[in-house]
Amino acid sequence: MITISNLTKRYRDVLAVDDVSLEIPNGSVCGLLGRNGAGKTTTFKCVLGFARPDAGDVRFDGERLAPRTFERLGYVPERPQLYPWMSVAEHVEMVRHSQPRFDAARAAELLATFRLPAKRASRKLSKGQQTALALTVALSTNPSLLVLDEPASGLDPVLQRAVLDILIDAAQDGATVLMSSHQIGQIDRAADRVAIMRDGKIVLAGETDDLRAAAKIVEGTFDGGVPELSGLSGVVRIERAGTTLRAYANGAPDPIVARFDALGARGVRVLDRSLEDLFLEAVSDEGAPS
Amino acid sequence: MTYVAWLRVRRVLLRYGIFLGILFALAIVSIATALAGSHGHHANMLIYQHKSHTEDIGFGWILAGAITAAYLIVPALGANLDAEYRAAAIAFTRPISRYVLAAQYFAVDAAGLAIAAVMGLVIALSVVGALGGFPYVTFGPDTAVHVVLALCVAVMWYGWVLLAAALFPGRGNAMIGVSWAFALFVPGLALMPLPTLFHDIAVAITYLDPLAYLGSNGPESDNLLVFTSPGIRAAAALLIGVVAVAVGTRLWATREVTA
Repeated sequence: MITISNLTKRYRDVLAVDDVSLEIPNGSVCGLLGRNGAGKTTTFKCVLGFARPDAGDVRFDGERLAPRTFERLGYVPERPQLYPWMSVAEHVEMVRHSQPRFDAARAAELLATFRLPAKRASRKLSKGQQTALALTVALSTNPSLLVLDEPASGLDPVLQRAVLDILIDAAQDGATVLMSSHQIGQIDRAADRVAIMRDGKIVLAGETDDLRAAAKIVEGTFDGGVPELSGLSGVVRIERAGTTLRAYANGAPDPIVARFDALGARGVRVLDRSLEDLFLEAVSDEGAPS
Repeated sequence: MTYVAWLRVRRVLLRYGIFLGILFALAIVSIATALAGSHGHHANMLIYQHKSHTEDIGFGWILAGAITAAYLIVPALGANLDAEYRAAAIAFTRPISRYVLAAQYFAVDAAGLAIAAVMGLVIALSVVGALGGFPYVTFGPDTAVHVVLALCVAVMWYGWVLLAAALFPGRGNAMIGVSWAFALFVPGLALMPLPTLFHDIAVAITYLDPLAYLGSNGPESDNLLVFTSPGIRAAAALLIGVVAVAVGTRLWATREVTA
């Protein structure tokens, strides 16, 4: 379990992380979403001890970060940080020498999955291959805690899928995964909970199923003109397209359905809102949903 | 992480070995050419060609010379810790403290310096042997202080580069170049006929220059930039080096990772 409590980090006059609290239980994949500069990477740095938070606390299974924490913690940074002059095989060998939980079979399996050329220097690898090598380094100890900043960045769609499957499998085996991605589809596929950051704050967080259940789209089709819709609480956005009226709701859709019926809708249906939709709404200038 | 440290040092030693190999080849060619010109006389005759009497060759001087030659790699070793900063995602997520990681690097770097010194010693003795000088090599404690001085100056240079790279993280390679420029330029500046104020400043800066602590022996000793005996110079260089290593390590281990 990773527990982040009231984490705050300021760089001079910029509040990069603002009172962030998050709890990721064992066996869970939490997707951290946000626009560029929202504070995701700084949050990761504070979590890993790379940056000193001005306030707050981070616990791993109840313990503060210590060198021994890294025996069970794997980290993949936003930009792969490898030794450019070392080969792929030497990177793996390095992990064998420095990590007591190194699993040679797992490393070999990952190298085969990513089809990494063992003898090639990391500086000669493509960006995607470098990301794959960083993942191999991080995952070859079968860590129970994973912190991944854009883990599938630069990978082709097949390998992106493979990485997500690895993370899902790890979580099913009890690992705690905290990952960020700009590819909402990846988060949608892998994460069972999500936290959306904006201007250093978490503006929306929870289990993805709950968030979707709480947020619906009510779509009504009308003959003739689309009527005006106002005075309905819980509606955060309205879209009109031809004879269709869509109301984006945070909360129970029943009152909206009733209103659509009252307005003479030919047909009304209730749809789940996508994670992308929730994300765009949370980071829009209008602010987070209530 | 000693694995990475060893790989790093191995790369440096490989380049140093190639350099020494080229020097050795040039020396052998020179000796062979001279021998050919001496019409078959034994090589040790070469020693006498420019001297009217034999001179002992102190082993300590040879060893100190080998250590001094290894200064070629000392700045590169001093920048090794900084190189880890650029791979922080790997280096700082090992299950050891950053201070232990640094200590491992120091141990490997020290071993690297020792190996470089041995490489230089082997080359130097080979040349001495080729010249027929082995019978004149003497062993004694009188030159030991110069071996110690050479080592202490190495520590000082290592410390400066480590500290400079810790102050400017990610710029270890630049600090290697700056250290060379500083080491070679500053003594020359102090010897230039500058106005008194500038001369005094240049001399003061000289005290930060590791090479100035080596000084010289023989009649040129009046030109020593850093006066005092070799023993005191060695102690001063060691102290400066150790303090620089300590401060640099502290900065390196506690700095936030921005990369």
